[in-house]
Formats: sequence, C-alpha cells, structure tokens
Amino acid sequence: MKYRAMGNRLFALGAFVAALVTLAWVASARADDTQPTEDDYYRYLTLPIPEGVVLEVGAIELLPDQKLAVASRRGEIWIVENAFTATPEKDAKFTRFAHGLHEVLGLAYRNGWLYVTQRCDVSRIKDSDGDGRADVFEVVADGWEISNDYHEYAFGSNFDKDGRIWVVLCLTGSFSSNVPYRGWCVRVGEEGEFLPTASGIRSPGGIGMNAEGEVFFTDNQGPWNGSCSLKHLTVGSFQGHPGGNRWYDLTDAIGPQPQEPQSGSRIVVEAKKIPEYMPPPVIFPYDKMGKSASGIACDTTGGKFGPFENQLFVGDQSHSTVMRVFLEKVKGRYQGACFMHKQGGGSGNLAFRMAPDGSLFVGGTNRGWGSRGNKPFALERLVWTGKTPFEIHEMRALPDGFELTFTDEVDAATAGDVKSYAMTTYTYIFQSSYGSPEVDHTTPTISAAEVGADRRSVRLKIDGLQEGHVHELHAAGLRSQSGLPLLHKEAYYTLNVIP
Amino acid sequence: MARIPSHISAPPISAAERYFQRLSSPSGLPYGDANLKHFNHPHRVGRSPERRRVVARATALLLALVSSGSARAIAAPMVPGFERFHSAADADPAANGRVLLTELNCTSCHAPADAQHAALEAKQAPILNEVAQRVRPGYLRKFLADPQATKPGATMPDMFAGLPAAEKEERIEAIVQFLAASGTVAEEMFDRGRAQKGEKKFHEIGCIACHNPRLEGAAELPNSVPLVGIEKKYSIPSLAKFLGDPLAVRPSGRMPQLPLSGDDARNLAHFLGAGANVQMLKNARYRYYEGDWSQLPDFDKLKPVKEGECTAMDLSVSPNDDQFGVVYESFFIAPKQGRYQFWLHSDDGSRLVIDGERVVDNDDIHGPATKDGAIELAAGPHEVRIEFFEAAGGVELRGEFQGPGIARQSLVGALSLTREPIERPDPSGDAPFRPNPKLFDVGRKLFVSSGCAQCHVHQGVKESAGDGDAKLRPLAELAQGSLTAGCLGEKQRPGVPAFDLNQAQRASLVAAIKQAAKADLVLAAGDQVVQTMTTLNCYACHERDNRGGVPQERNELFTGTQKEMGDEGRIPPRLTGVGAKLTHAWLEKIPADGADDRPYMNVAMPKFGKQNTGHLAGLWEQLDTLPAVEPVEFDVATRQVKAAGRLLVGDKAFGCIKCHQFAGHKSTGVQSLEMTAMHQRLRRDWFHQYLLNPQAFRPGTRMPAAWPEGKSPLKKVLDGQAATQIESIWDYLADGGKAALPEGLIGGAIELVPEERPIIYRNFIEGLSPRGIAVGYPKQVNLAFDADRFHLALVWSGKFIDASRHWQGRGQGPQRPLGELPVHLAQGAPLAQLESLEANWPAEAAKEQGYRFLGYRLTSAGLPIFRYRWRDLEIEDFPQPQVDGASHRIDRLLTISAGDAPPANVYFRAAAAKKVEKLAERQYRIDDDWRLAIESKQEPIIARGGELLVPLVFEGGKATITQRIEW
Repeated sequence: MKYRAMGNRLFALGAFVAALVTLAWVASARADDTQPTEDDYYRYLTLPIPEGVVLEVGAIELLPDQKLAVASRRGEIWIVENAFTATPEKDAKFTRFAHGLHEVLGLAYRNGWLYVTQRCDVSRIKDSDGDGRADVFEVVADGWEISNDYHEYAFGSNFDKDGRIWVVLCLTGSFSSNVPYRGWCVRVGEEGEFLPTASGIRSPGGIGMNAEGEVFFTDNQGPWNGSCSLKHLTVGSFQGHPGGNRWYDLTDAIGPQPQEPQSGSRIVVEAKKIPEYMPPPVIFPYDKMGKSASGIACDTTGGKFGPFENQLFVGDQSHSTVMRVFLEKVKGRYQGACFMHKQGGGSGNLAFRMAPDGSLFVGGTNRGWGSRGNKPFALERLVWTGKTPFEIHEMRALPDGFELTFTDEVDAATAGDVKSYAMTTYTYIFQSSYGSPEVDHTTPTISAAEVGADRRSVRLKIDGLQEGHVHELHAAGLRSQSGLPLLHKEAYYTLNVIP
Repeated sequence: MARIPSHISAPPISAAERYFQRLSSPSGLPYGDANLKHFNHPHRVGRSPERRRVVARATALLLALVSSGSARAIAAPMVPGFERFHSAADADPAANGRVLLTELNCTSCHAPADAQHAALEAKQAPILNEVAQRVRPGYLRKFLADPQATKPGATMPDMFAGLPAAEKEERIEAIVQFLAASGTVAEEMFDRGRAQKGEKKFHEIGCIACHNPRLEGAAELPNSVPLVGIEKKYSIPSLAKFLGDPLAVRPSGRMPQLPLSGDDARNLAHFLGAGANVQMLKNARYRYYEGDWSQLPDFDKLKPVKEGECTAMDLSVSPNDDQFGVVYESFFIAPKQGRYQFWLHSDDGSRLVIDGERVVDNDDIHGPATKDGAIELAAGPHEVRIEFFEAAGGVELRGEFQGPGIARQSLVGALSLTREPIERPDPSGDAPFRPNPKLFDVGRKLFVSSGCAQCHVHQGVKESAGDGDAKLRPLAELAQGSLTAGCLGEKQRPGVPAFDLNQAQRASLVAAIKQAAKADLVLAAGDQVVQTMTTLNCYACHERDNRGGVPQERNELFTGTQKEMGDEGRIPPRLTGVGAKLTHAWLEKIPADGADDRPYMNVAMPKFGKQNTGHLAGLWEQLDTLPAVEPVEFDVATRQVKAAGRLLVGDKAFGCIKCHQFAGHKSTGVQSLEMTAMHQRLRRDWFHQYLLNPQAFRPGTRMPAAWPEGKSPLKKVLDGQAATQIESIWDYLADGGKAALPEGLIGGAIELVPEERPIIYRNFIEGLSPRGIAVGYPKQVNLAFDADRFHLALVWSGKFIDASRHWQGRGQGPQRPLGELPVHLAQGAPLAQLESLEANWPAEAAKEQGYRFLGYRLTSAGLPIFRYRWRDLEIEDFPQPQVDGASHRIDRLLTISAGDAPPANVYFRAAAAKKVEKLAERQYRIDDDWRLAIESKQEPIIARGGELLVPLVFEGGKATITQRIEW
C-alpha cells in the first residue's frame, strides 16, 4: 500500500493552534526504535476464550490446583485450567461452572465455597455432587436494595483479615441514592453478618487491598469527583459524595451523619472541616492517567512481578491501561503517587487479580463504555520478562520537596541537574456538578536535586509545595547509569498533606 | 405573605429603587380560586389584603410622582453585554461604549460614518405595525410616561423628560391613540396546567441564559434582561405570538427565536403571567348540586344546593372537593359562521351542550382527560350548557375552542352572561381604551416629531427609522460638542431623550464617542466579532477567547438529558477556534437559523437571523486557522477505504458508536453528537487534528484519543497509521445518512433457548422487583420467581427471554418475557398466619414481614429449588414443568419445615384473583383464564371470592402442598 506521510505545512497560526501542532504531529512521528518499550519488561499473554463464549470479565479469583474462577457481566462463572503455563494461549481450558448470576463483580474463594458479589447480593456457591457444575447457591447477605438501574453495581473484595468481604455500592444512575445503601460500602461476614461501613461513594470501578490488608477502591470522575481516584476505605469514613447520606437514618453502625461538603470548594479545605472525610490518597489526573479507574491488585509476590513489591496496580477501563501506585502514610493517612505502567490491554481493563507466581490477570470488557483496547472482552495475563525497567520506584513527600528512588542506579550528572525535572501543581474543584477542570495551577521551583550516595535516590528540594494539589513531575532529562531515560517519565503525587 | 418578586437584576440599586421595581411586579391573581388552588406558582400566591393595600398605596404614589413630572425613576438601562464586561480589569472603555451606542440606539439619530456603519448599526427598535394587537394601551401609556419606572432596565429613553406634566400627558395620550387605534389585544384566560408546562420550558430551553430564573427563592442574578411588567404589557395570545416569532417584531435578534411549538409559546405566555390580571367577569349562571354519582346525573331532576352567577367553569363555586356537580349556562358568541370545534378537559365527567345539542361528552369517573366535538354555528350568540361532576380525587375543568380563522383558545373568554358580548376593562389597570379619532393624527405627527420614528417602524408613518437625524450631529462629530450635556447630561431639557444612564455607562459612551471621532476608523475583525457577540449576548452561553461563557451563578441552570456527559452535555460549546472547526455553511447556518446538533442539551441554540449574524462566519474564518492537513492518498479502492472507516467506527474497533448516535440510531452508551452529520458540519483539517488530540481542543472532554501519541492500536487496518485511518473515517462519513451502518450499532436479539437443561436468567424482569429470577425450561415452559417478594410471579409458554436489553450496551430497565402472554400469579407473600378467615392477607412487603431469601439449589437436571425463610419456617419452593400436548403445566411443590413447634392457622395463598371458581374436588378456574389444582392435607378454602387459601398441616414438622398451575 502506498501512503504519503502527512506533513505539517503550517499556515497562518493563531495562538489557538500553537500548542496543537507540537502535540498532534510531532507526537505522531515514529518512536525511536532503539529505546526500550514497555513490552521489553512486561508482556501480555492472552487466554483463549472459547469461540461463542462472551466472557465480559467482571471478577477473577484464584482457586486451588492452579485454577482460576472468572466471572462475567452476563452472570456466568468459568473455571480456567492451565492458565499458568508458558503458553496459556494454547493450553488454557475453559469450563462453565455456573450461570444465571446477576452481573458478578466480585469473587472470593474460602473453605470450598466461591463467594460471589453480584448486583443483588453476596452469595456463596459450590458444586456439591462433583459434576463440575455449581448446584448450591446460598445467599450470604442482601441488605442493600436495587431499583432496575444498571448503574447500581456492586463490587466485592476478597476476604479481609477479619474474614469479611467489603462491598462498594454504586449510586443510582451514578448520581443519586434512590434505595438503601447506594453510595455506601458494606462489609459482609462469611455467615451473613451485614455491616454498613462507609458512605460517600459515587461510581466504583474496582476494590482491593494493599499489603497491609487495608482496603482501597477506585471512584470515577463525576459529581464530587473532579477526576478519578484511588480511595481508602475505613470504618466510618465518608468518601466525598453526600448523595447517599440519607441512609445514616437506617443505621447507627458508623455514627452520626457527617457534615455535607460545600460545593465549589477544594478537597483540602473540606477535609479540614469534615473529620470523617477521607480525601483520596491518589488522584489519577483526568485523561493524563485515564478516564475510568478500575481494578486494584497488590504485588505481594516477593519480586516475581518485578521490582515493585507491595505497590498497587490499578486499571483504567477507558485507556486499557495498568497504572502503578506508590502509597506512603503521612500524618496517619495514605497518600502517594501514580505512574503509567503498561498500556495496550486487549479490551477495557476492569478486573485485576495478582497470582503468587507474579502473573497479573487482567479481565476486560468495553460493553457500554468504549475502550482503547478494541476487543469486546478479554482475559489476559501480564507477566514480567525478568528485565528491570528504569523507573521511579518510589516518590515520597518531604517537608521541602520529594524523594525519588529508582529501580536502577542513576547517572549522577543528569540526576543532579534541576533542569532534568519539571513540576506543575493543580487540583480540582470539589463540586456537586460533574467532574472538574484542573484548577489553581502553580509552578513550583525545583531548587536542588541531590543524588543519594547509593545513586538510587534523588532528593528534590522544592519551593512552593502546594498542600492539596497534585504535583505533576516530568523527569525527562534524567538518565540511568547506562544512559537510558525513564520508561515512564511522569509521576503524579497527590499531596494531601505536607509532612 | 409571599415574597414579591421583581425579576430584575440591574446594577447595584438602592432600597428606593427596589421599591419602584417591585411596583411593577405581578400582583396576584384575580381569577376564581378554584381554578388556581392547586397551582403553586410562587409569583401568584400573594393575595393577602396587606399585599393589596401595599400595591394600592404604591400605585397611588407612583401615579402621583409620574403625573407631577418631578420624579425620575432611578434604574439605568440594562444591556447585559455591557454590564457583564465593562468593569473587567482589561476592559476597553471604547469597546464597551460601542456596545451602548448600538444597544441604546444612539446611532439611529447620530449617524455613524460610512466606515463604521456595519459595526455600529443600531439595533432595530420594536416594529410597531401590530402594536395595537400586541401591547395593551394602558401599558403603552405608562411606559411612555416613565420607561425606567415601568420597566427598570428599559433601553428606551423617556422622550418627554423635562416637559410640564400636563403637556407630557397630552402628548403621550395622542401617541397612544395613534398606536392603539388599529386593533385590539385578544385575551385568554389563565390556565395553570399550561403555566406549569411553561415554567418547565422557561427554565430548560435557555430563557434563563439572559433572564432571571422564576423559581421560588431564585436569587436575582446579575445582568438579567428584565421581564418586569410583562404581564401588564401583553395578553396571553399576544405574548405567545411574540414568542413564536420575536424576530418579526424585533428583527435585530437581541431576543432570538427559540425552537418553540405553538403550544410551547402559549405555555410560556401563561407561565410568564401574561393575562394573569384579566378580570374575568361573571359570564355564566351556575347551579350547584351535591351527590355521589358515577356518571353525570339528570341535573334538571335534582334540586340544586345553591345557584348564582360566576365565571364559567369556575369550580370555586363548590365548597367541597368531592361528591358535587355543577351546571353552567352561558352564551357563546360566535364571531362568524362556520364549523367550531370544542374541547372539554375534566376530572371527573363533563359535557358540553350547545343549543340543545350534545357537542362534547366526557362523562364517567376518570382522571384528567380531554374529549372533543364539533358543531356548525351561525354568527351570533348560542346557548351553552356545561355540566360537570366530581366523585373523588383530582378536580379539573377546562374548555377550549377553535373556529373558522380562530386559533384554538380558551373557551371561558368567549362566553357571555347575555346574548351581548362582554366588555372587558384593560387589565393593565387603566380605564378601557376608547378611540379618539381627533387625536389620531396629532399622535401620528408627534410620533415623528418626538423622535419615535427615528428608531421605530410603523406603517402609519412614511419616515423610515434609523437613518440618522439630519438635525443632529453625526457620531463622528459628537466629540466636538459637550460630552456632559444632552443625552449624556445629568438632566435632560425638553426634547432630549432621558436614558437614565449611570456613571459607568456615561464614561464608556464618552470613550466610544471620542474614538468614533476618527471617521475612518475601521474595527479589526476581532473587535467586530466581540461587538456582535456582545450585543447579541452570545457570551451568555458561549466562551470565546477567554471572554464570556456561562457565568458561575447561572451554571446550574443549564441542564441536559444525558447526565453522564457531564458539562459537555449541558453547557453550550466553547467557540474559541470555531472558524477553523465548522464549515462555512454551518458557521452561517447555526447562528442564523438556530441548531439542534446537540439534542441532549436542554438549552437550545436559538435563531438570531441571518441579517444579524451573516458577517460572523467570514470573520471567524479569518481569525481562526489551523495548519492544513495534507491529502492522504490510498491505493485501494474508495469502497475499501470506506469499509475501513466503517470498521473503525464500529464496536470491533474504536467503538465511536458507543457514545455517538449514527444515522438516527441510538448509541449503546451516552447519546452524543450524530456522526453522519459530521462531514457536513466539520472541516477536514479540524477533524484530523481533533481526533488525534481531543483534549487540546476541548479540555476535559470525555472524547477519548483513539490514537494515543499519534499511534494506532490497530496496526492491521489500512497501513496502521493514524492519518490514513482518520482519513478513512472522514471518507466513510462523507456518505452522511446513506453510510452503511457500522457494526454493533443495531444489536440483534439474544434469545436464550433452553435445550437440555433449564436456563436461569437473573436480571430486571418486567412485573417483578429488581431481584427477579427467570427460569426457562426445555419444551417452552417458563417462569419468573421474585426473590424480593417471594412469589412465583409469572408463568408463560413459548420462547423464554431475549437478553439483548441487558447484554448489549449498559442494560437499563426491565425486560418482558418472550413467548406467549404470561399468566400473572398471586402477588404478595405466600404464607401468612390468619386469626380468622375473615382477616385480610397481610399487605406489607414480604421482607417487612420477615421473609428472607436463602438462595436456591439445582437438581441434577438443573432445576432450581428456591429456598426462603419466614419466621421459623423454612420453605422449599420447587416448580416442575410438565408438558402434555398443547397444555402447559407447572407442578409447584412446596415443602415447609417448622422444627419442633409448628405454628397454627398458617395458610398458603394459592390464588389471589378477581374470581376463583371451583370446578371439581380441589380443582379451580381462576379469572376464566387458567386452572389450578391443589394437593394438600386439608381442603383449600375460597375466601372473599378471589382468594384460595390452603391450610398448612404439619406432620413431623413438615407440611407439603402441591400447586398445579395449568394454562
């Protein structure tokens, strides 16, 4: 096929165009083939969903004997065998275990039962006669209501350290709370205990735990959510959207109704006023880091998934990406940074599960919401190639800047040069109307970059840290000792609190 | 005491000013209360005696002030584009002044130089050819006497300021005679139903972009174009006509034309209070009856409780809300001979009889319902009889008619107590207008000599408006004279218009006048765009180059039907760069004709008229440019290029149709802009560059970048390059509405077909709670069990269910079964403990009675056995399909386990229907529709005719019942 490359003959340029030109056409030039790409470090293996099966993955769980349970939005559960071989695309075998469930978005295995979080309840199911098909479907807890609204999703976690499943309940139409506990998190015990746990949820895309067993969920851009974010669930916390606050009338499990936030304010302002309000530990800046934050998995594999032990991996359904999140506790609350990790998911990345062998299983669907990955659904396994990418490993806040650590030794000259870095800060309007642009931009000054003695860390001294702002760092000039640029040069630290 | 709204938002005003403004606000309703008592409009509730006294005192005071000629109102003209921008830090006083030069019609008298003519053309003042049919004479009189007091914010000056009171009054009377003599204002009675619809429309379609919202407790927003006095100025029909085509009266587009149907315009007119103070005289005799009827009785055989005169169809004659009837008798004065159609809208029954003939019959008990009928009538009076009765619940009665050349309108206004037409006083509060032919010519001459004709067009005068006044200095020479006298002075001498300018307005005008002294000064393209967009108040909705846009205080008033689109679904688009985005035809068409390209947005893009906006297209194009995108050449056939475009748009690739409508087909997600119109709307250069980086053009847009960093994720489509792929979509969309539909746009049915084993489908099922469980069994027997209400809700034969509603797109709403019409079984909880058989079956929701769903287990053949608990009873509910020839049967085996102490007097309700008929021993027919057989220890009991109760008999802690359902 003949194709004459598009040029960018520039005609009269208004101010309106100037930015575009560089953005659009320069970026479309072919990447330098000599530079490493994400594929050199992490690769997707595709699991072969059988012809004719529509497996829009809503949840994934690990079963004994190297098996997987995979739940679909159509209400089926499939058992996958041979998913861990070197060539799962040829070896994996799919068998249907159950059907007739209602949009399953949570799976947890315990004591022979598969606990299923579906739209209407948490049920547990098992195969009692050994024919490979579930035949017992027991309701564990169904203490919330639904109202024929597709948006009233229920995402369920795995069991926490107290043996409970955390369920986050999306609002009605993702805007209001028409029936009990929409917009809440509830905990469900193995034997049916039902505990209203936290309010203020809008539209979750996934739920998971960090290495300490603390529970996090992703909430999506919309009212009271200027951009998508990772939120920390604690008993009694208020997560920001007051739509479901009326249900405090139904329960005294978590104390009185908190004060309502003021629309048009800022997260940092309201967090100081409302003690129950838990500001999001990490904001995923809209479009820069995706548009629909989703599944959460923690790397507890002891190095089998690369050098990011105990960090979180978070999906984005719209951009079909895997992001990486580093969290630290500052003044008693989590906050931290997010980084791009891996692009190019087959469908809209939704369900995540990390296996002990270092496989990150990623389930996708783009029904109803489009995604960059163009397959309608997919089940993939993301594995580390064993090569360590040159990345910012951790980004910690300091009273006067940030400390970066790296996965490899840095080149002292570039790492010590403040011109290798650029930083802007901004936040979002905390408001009842939909989303928010970035606002309150500042450009702090990076006054020094001190390379650590082991050459694996750099302390950035910064004048003008902004409490409550996302600090967007570009480390374009930085090189590793072997001369490589960072695989991902951008980091976004949500500085709720300056240490 | 209700708040008294003033609907104005002039610059900061004093308490005294506020007082005057409030004088002009609507003053409550004169109609019968019955017709209004359910209409909770905030502006129409102040009817207390105190309120009336206040208004009376205020009116008296105002009249005294006006007639003495010694007091001037204090508000200043309201030009929203000026008020919003003049105080900005970077404001250019001359540019702001230019806005006033056109909006206050300065250039109608002070002609601009040729070079400036286009930019400084005065707005055309209202065309007065039909003012007699449009504006009430009483209002004209008051407005001419003191525009600012009558309508604070008015841009029309007082043309008679400084004249002695008597002389002023004389002149005004003559001009009113001239203006009002050529017609009359048609009236129509207020209708609260229409006003409620109008209220919704007013706050949705965009009126609130320029006017203050009119909701209870609404704040008075800055820069609102005042509507004070609108209810005194117009009648309902005249305001509706104006709203339907404002450009006919005000061709300069400052009040643009919104896409309103005739009904919409009328509803708005009702809402805006026009005609609210029409005094509806007593125009009927009524007889009031009390009784409990289910149809209209023969009232003539009944004795009325009371009788008298009232406004026809005024239900306030009844002291009761229920169980009454009224007969109204009146005369309909047909203006001419012809066929007349009548409508009666009522709750409950009503009837219209004309000259003894039943024309409309809307009898029986019913909710609000409209019936119509027609009759041939001669010109002149006809006997009318309207009968009405109310049993219980809602109460409504309204009539409408239309006739030869007479638009559909309220019937009440056309009725008379006698055979003579009624005379109506002027609702603006004045004495009825009485033509005085002697004054007509005086008025016509004064209309010209006083300067009215300088701005206004009237067919009665030849002098055309707006050519500049030869006696006055042209604009370019004004700076040579004093800039603190004349119109710009603090006080005006007789003959000089008094605009009531404030200090900021004067200063800006002076700056503009000084600038205009350079007669050859030509406005730059950018300044021309700003001038037009400011005078037309485009900036109320649109931002362009960091100027304007929906202001924060109005932001929440802009709504959309697609909440999930966020601001993009409700805030009109930014116009920065629009000249490089839209095609020339579209740039011309949208402002000139209005648009509906974004149907999800409630605010409509109105029509401003080509004469007002035609120049914008060229200016925008001149100002906004994008680098050209080089042509893309393909060496495959166009057909294949378009096929690639089609693939990319469809759900197998980028899935544009998940959010965008295509050829009128709904998308599977939000309903964003129609794709087949894009080729027509957009420029190719923009299309290419926007698709590569939507955020650069629309910050915050939900439109994804499908080619992140300019790279295609689809390497195998064409050559895998962004440019070729975008070009292929562009070429594909060039086919417009004829384009082949992309994949995934129209989902086929997903029929679930049970073959070997049953299929369970848990989702939203029509007729069930959201916790429905449908089961399709092989051989076409199906049921739906409700896991929230604990009953077998539906059984049906034939096909099972189509899952496409829930399995394509996002899956909103309930799905009805496929196959034959389902049989609806007993609603409500299945078991109850009854003290006696006379006791009612408990009506509370099953969950409130303590029912809990425990789940289900599947037999080895896959048949579900539902399990639930009630108190200490555990129930297994096992439906088993039986197919025997054409008949379909489900044998439902209920096993109830009670433990050690089974309760007494517990029943299973096997049917709850209108009719249960016993056919044989333990066999029943239900509602003449389906059959039921019961196997149980104890004989079932038919209770209250329609319920079949089966007593539970426990043996060894268990009770079993089999319910055979056959249909």
